[in-house]
Amino acid sequence: MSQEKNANTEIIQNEGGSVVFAPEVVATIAGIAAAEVEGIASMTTNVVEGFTELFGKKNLTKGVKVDINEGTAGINLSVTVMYGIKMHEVCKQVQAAVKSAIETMTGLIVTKVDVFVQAVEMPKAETAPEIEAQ
Amino acid sequence: MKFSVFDRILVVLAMLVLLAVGVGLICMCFIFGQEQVASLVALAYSGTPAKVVLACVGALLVIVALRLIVVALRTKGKGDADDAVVVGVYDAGTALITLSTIDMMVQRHCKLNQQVKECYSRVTACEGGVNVSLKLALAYDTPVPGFASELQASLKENIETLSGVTVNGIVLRIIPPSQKQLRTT
Repeated sequence: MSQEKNANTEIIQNEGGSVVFAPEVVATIAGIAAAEVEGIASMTTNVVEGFTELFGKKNLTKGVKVDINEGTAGINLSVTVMYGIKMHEVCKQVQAAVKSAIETMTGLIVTKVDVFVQAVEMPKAETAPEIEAQ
Repeated sequence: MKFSVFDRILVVLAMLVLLAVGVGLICMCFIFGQEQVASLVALAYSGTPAKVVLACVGALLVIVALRLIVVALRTKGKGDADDAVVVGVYDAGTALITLSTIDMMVQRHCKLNQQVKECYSRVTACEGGVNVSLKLALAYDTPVPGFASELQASLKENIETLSGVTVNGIVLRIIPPSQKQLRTT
């Protein structure tokens, strides 16, 4: 997923003038807030983003799609969750964290945060218990 | 997506080949004359070693291109709404999970069991949750009825607890082990 490509940015009018937010900024905030939630292994990338990361380009907006319109923002996140964590709980935490971060830092009203769990990261050392055979 | 070590090596080699080709083309334009280029091309037909080298370079580029195409096609459509089920609708938005993610969890749960020698799984969306179809090759002395009911119960609990998605049904089909599995046992 990638952020909105159009140049339409959100403009917030205040007393001193206007504040303009590029979608990439909102996507970066959302991406960092989501990645910091415990249980999130990483944000999910597509082929192009994975290819560019090979060359060392760090992409803070990977897995984030932002839709900004008239003072509101809708966020779509694609994440990879660690195995063994309750995904529905993690998704709720991600939604709360992203909404809080964006509203605090930008003043935009977040109308929705949709989370898409695209993969599970398995633990590196497989030490899970076995099912006892009868 | 993550690139494996093999993919990274392929990419590095392909970049080196492209670098050599780029430098060669620039030299053709500004340094080498037509006769020199012709003699270089003739080298390719001068003997077996030259042909082998060229063939290897060509094969490398083909492998890299095919690998990228396969990866691109495999990830195409991944994450589409049709391949996902809703985990929950909350105040802040909706949470979804792809069927392939649930399939990974099913695979892991089944393969952790030592009685399971091979596991082929398929997860499909249905009203209110998902259905799981399993084809399992089991160890010879496994009592199937008891094993099956226990696996179905534990798998259902595992998926529902971790993902929040309801498992409506688990169809279990016992299959004979493959020839490869028989050779390794």
